[in-house]
Amino acid sequence: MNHYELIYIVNPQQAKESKLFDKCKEQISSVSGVLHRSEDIGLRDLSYQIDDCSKGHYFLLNFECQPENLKEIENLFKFNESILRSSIVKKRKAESETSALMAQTKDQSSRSQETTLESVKKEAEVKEETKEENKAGDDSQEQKQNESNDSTEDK
Amino acid sequence: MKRKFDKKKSRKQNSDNLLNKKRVCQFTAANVEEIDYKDVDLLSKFINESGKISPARMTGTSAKYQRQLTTAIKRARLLALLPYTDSHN
Repeated sequence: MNHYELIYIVNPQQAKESKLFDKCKEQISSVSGVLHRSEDIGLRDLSYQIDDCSKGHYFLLNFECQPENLKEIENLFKFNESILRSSIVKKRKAESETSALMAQTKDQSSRSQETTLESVKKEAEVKEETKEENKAGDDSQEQKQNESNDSTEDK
Repeated sequence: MKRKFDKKKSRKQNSDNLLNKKRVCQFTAANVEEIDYKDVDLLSKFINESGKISPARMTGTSAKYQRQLTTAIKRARLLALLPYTDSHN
């Protein structure tokens, strides 16, 4: 039995409809393979457009199976049009910890949420500040006017 | 004699450059088993602005890990995790 890592990208418009993730798992178990890690990584920005898609839904599977059975799993992807990319890489050992890709995509999504929140807060703060500044400006102008009035009276 | 002296001086000044700086291989230091092609944050340190793989003499990566690094970056490019060039739309 060899260790393999399968990663594939699904067109985000068709990601919800396709049950490929479950199908893959079934296929692996049907050829008496062992599943070590399965991750639904989710939407990520692609570095370049593939088939006019700028985002893709990533899936990751680490499994162990006989090399003869690999073709059956490959065939699941070959004739599916909603798959943008897929690759199977041979690995030396089983991996079961959460992948770096998963952690980084999570970071990205949480960061983007935070930034939106922060930007909203900042906008509110900026508005308040501008209001205060306007008030201060009015006060100073009045003071100046008063001063000028005083000076004219003196003369 | 004067000329020789000047040469030495210029070499010293050059040692501040990125190329001549002595660097330690980051992967050897961390005793990495295999470079992960899914670690985008790590791999993006080893490509320049135009998406090219930076040479080992710039980064100080040892030959063993530079070989792993190139395959890792190429795999990541195929999966659209890294750009091939800077002129993608």
